[in-house]
Amino acid sequence: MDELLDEFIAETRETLEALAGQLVQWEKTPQDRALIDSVFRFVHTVKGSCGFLDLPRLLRLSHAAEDVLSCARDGLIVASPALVSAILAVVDRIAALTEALESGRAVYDDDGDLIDAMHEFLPTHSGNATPSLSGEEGAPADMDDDAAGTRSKARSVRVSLSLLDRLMNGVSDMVLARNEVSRQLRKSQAGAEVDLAFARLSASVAEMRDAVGLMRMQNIDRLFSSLPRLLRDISLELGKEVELRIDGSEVEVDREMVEALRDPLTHILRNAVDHGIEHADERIAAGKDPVGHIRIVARQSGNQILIEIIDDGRGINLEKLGTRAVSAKIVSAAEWQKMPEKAQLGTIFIPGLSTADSVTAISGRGVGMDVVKSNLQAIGGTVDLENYEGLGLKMTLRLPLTLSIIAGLTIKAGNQFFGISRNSIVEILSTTNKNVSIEELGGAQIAHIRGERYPYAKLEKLLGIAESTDSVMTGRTLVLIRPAVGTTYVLDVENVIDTEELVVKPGAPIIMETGLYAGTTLPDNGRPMLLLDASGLGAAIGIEQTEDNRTDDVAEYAVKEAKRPSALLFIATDGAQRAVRLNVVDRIEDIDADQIEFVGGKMRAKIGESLFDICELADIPAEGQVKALRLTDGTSTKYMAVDDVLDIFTLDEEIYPSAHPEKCEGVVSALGKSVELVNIFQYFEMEGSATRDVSARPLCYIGSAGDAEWEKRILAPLLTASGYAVSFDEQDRHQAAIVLSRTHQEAAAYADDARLLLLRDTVHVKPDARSSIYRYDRIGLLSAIEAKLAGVA
Amino acid sequence: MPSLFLIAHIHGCRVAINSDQIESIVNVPDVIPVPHCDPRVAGLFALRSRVLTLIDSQYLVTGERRTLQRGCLAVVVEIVGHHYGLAVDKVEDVVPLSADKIQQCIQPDGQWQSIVSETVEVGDQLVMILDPARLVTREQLMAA
Repeated sequence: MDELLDEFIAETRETLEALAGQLVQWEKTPQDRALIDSVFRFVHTVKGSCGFLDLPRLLRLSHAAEDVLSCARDGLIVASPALVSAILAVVDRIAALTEALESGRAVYDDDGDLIDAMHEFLPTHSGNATPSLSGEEGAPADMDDDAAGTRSKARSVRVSLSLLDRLMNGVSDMVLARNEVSRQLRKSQAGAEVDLAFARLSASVAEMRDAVGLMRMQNIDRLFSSLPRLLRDISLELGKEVELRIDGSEVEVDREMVEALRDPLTHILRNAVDHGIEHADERIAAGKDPVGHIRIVARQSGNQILIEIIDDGRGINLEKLGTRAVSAKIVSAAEWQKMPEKAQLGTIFIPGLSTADSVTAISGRGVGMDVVKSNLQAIGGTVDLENYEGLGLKMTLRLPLTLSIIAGLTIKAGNQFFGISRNSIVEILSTTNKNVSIEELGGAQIAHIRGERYPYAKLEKLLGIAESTDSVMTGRTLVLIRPAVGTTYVLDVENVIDTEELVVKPGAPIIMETGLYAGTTLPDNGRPMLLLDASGLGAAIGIEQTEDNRTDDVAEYAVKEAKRPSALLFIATDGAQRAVRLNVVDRIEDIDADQIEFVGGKMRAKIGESLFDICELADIPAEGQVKALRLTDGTSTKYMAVDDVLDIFTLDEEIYPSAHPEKCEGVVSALGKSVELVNIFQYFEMEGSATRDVSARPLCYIGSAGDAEWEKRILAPLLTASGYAVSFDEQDRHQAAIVLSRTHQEAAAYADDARLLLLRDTVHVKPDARSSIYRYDRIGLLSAIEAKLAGVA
Repeated sequence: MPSLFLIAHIHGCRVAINSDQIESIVNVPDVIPVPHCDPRVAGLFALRSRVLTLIDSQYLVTGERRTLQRGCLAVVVEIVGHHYGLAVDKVEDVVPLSADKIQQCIQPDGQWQSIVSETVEVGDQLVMILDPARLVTREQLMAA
């Protein structure tokens, strides 16, 4: 019985939210038969279950609602705001009672009033006679509806969360076991068959992990479905007419995220209607549509979820905001004048500030936006504002895709490894960097980086662990951290090891109470690792736990920095120091030597599922790792092997021209030394041929005499690989875009065909012949084809 | 109905742990220390894909820190959703003990009091019953 009750509660709660949305929709389109049917079906199901489970109050309520809806379905009464309000009131009561069922609390019983209110809408308005009538009439028909409804529903089952977690743990176990087997296999050299079988196992494990990851995901619609109802209530109360449009309901997010977003989104929506959208007369005076519009758009962008809330209200009046901020003593009037617009806008996130003229029941108490921001920060998200004064406001919420997997950085301190979330990391520098110095100030240490001073601490000292002895020799690494709470600081660690996706596991309370750790994680090597809490470490250093007022400076600084291009100084594989522009370097990676192979005339590394070229690597080391820069030109990616990476510096001095511009862009001065600035285009220029637009594949007819071995073996594959269709069939000749031939008969027969390209067997051009291309001149051939195509078109 | 108890040794003393609370007994793999944490916490270790907290049970008795090495024996228990390994010297046996043999009149001495509130007679020897939850919660320790 209890199980049935739980099932009922869970199911009712789930459908209630959707129902409210549908009711509101119905109010707008009273003719929509499908909507009223689905509302009716729900109420009917509740009624049925209540009768079965012996819940008299719910039964009476749902019965009353059913009567009214049944009349509405038969067209006897028409949807009106009053009717919908009354039905919503019943729905709310059903929700309250359902909650009460679970928690065992009592709910005040004035159901009679609600039921009477329902009966008011009945056309006969005669109390008891109608319900019994409609009940009997409606029942058989409803059963049919129910059956039809169930059949068309998506096939899904309800699974308990603990079972889901168990499944996820099981799959993680499998991944770890697979890694272990892979290590063992590599040692034992088991042979190709075993490798093949293992690869298959690997692939299915990976697939399973992805699938389980998806199981955590939930449609964001679950979050959005309650919004139409919310908006309706607010706009009715305020007497404003607002239309809500929701796009991107199909976006999937982590199920914990849905819960975490509920409050912020509610706040934002309330604010938008209350402060943003003007009253109808005001809107008309401003030349706007009297009905306000709010649009919510959700989409996935890379590993982020973006939610945009756009309203066409009055926007934020910065002048008014300034007055409030000054009177609330948040900034001085002079400071306000100097603040950039973005920073001024940012003050709406400061607790206790509101631009509302009066406090209403809905918003304007100055709490809200700060809650939004802190709630978002708690789940690793951010919020951006775009203000168009008088025209509207656009808020963009950026959220990580999941809560349980973070992009992390592995760092070493003492003899131990720690993980830290990459979100909070601004920059990583070496202590050998000339731009960095550590200063003493009254016993405390301060890091001085490019003219900025930051609180500084050694991680070993913070944690009370011993420094490993050899770190003094090699130089240490500074990590500039901007935590969600508190000011930016510098953490001195022995080394930064790797960047990795880390699965966060909660730590035991006894560990969490130190305040230094955010949890634990288990990397692929099977050795647990502690995750550092960026804010907690800041607190341990003793920095102030206030909102970071440097954000704007930093943002400005970042803009300034972006204008001055930076370059990465490294030691090339030939031992020389060179530099490469930083904007083409994705990241620095260590590639295992056994992942590198010399195939197809190039050094290539297998990374993940793809093969990448490695430039500047002469030999594969027998073991260990190769340090490489991951270079990208936006479309393709390559690696450049290096001996070591030294530093980052800004290219603010002159670039002296080079004698070999195709190899090096020029000579620059890096920290007092002259080094070559590598021209990375030399690595990417080979890419061009394969990347022609393959959507249209022009047909190349290859005219040939005899067996045409060369054409079939060499020429055709080359053309196909370059994005052309190839035919040897004489019939295709007339429709081909290009005709290629190596035979002189062909040349003679079709000398006037503009599409003809002749190939010759020798490098030397015969004086008599018409223009032809040496058959192994790949670049020449492809560019001649392109030229012909352009000419023909 | 007698319940099953595991008899284990901590700091040379025999203790009984209710087997309902025990998930398994393992030899811990590598122990990763947790710096700047309560000295009871000997570190973290991995058990399949889970990360467990290793508790140095002996610290609560002796007040002396020691480094627990790979391979030491731990009793795995779950306490409010988190898994812990309680380091023990050795385990003897699982014995059924009836509830009427459990008594609270005789209390152990000193530090043991903070983690033991009951004793039970096993064979002819009186054995302390260890309450694992008291090993990992600070409030209990403060109160004691």
